[in-house]
Amino acid sequence: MGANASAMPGEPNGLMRPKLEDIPESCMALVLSYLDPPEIAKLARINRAFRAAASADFIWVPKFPSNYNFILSKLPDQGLITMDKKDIYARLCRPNSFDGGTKEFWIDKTTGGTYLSISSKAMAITGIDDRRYWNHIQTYESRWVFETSARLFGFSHVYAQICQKMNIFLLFKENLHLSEDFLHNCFTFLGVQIFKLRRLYLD
Amino acid sequence: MSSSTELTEKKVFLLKSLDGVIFEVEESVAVQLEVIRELIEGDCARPFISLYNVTSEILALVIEYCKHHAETCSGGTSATIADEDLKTFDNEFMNVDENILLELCSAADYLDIKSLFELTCRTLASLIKDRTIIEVRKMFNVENDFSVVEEKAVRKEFAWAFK
Repeated sequence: MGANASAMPGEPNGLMRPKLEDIPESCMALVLSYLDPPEIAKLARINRAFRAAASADFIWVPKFPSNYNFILSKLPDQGLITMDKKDIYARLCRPNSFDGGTKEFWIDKTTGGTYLSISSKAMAITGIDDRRYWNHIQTYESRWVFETSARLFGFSHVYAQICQKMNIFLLFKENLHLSEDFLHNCFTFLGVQIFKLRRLYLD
Repeated sequence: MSSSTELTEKKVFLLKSLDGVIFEVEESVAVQLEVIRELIEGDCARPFISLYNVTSEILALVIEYCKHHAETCSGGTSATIADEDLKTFDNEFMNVDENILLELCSAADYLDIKSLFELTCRTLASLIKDRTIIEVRKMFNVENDFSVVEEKAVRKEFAWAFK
């Protein structure tokens, strides 16, 4: 009984050298949680224990954008919510279209930064939101493949891609005045506050 | 023998490592080991506490860590200076061989020292980062125990990360 251990003088060398797999899964998972998603995915291939650790929900939750519940609620596929967090992450790394296919959302797999790509068809422009003034021309550049010109005002090129965390960039050529509601919606989606937007927008 | 109650006055506790070495630690240090704090509270800490999972080499390091943290926190210095100091100490402290680091990690887990556990895990993470799978297996002496089918499945499961 109690006789088991204490007096054992013996072999301190070679005795009890822990290997990584002797370490409890919670520890492995915590180690993984400090890494970025592609690293975690890579390490899942080490062995079974790592694979199990890499599937723990608590690792993935902090990698999501802060407003991810809102984002999930927007996406058409509501089955997502019940999936494992790691699978949700994988899903969000692919472009997910919503709002009748006029917008796409995805996250950067390494940083978790959010991206929103908006078709010109989803844009609303202050003052000239009359579709008769819009002309859609395909270009090589983006998946949306639209160059929009609002003929009346001579806007030659509208293209918006917005991302958060890494950078926020808006490419609105020629001072296009997109309606505030529209921008507000986009930025709520990205979890960016509107005051940031205004400054960027006006610059 | 066992009623060496003089020790109680100084509030010193004895910790015995796996290989039989006894360490004397003050209460402020001992209570940082959550496991031991519970034993102390339950009045089960006499005459000494046997730690069957920790060698003397590692226990010495653990005690050094807890001592430094206990002293810095109670030293009356301002929080920011103490923070800085601890950060420097932690960095230095983590400058050890990988095997030691692993042992520290499992000891911190066993002894339930949250800050040390997180510190070692974070350090392990930074060591693993940017290494190939084969390197990591070698580094930690673990084997690939996947069957061919499982290996395929994992690759598929995480394929999104490599596109």
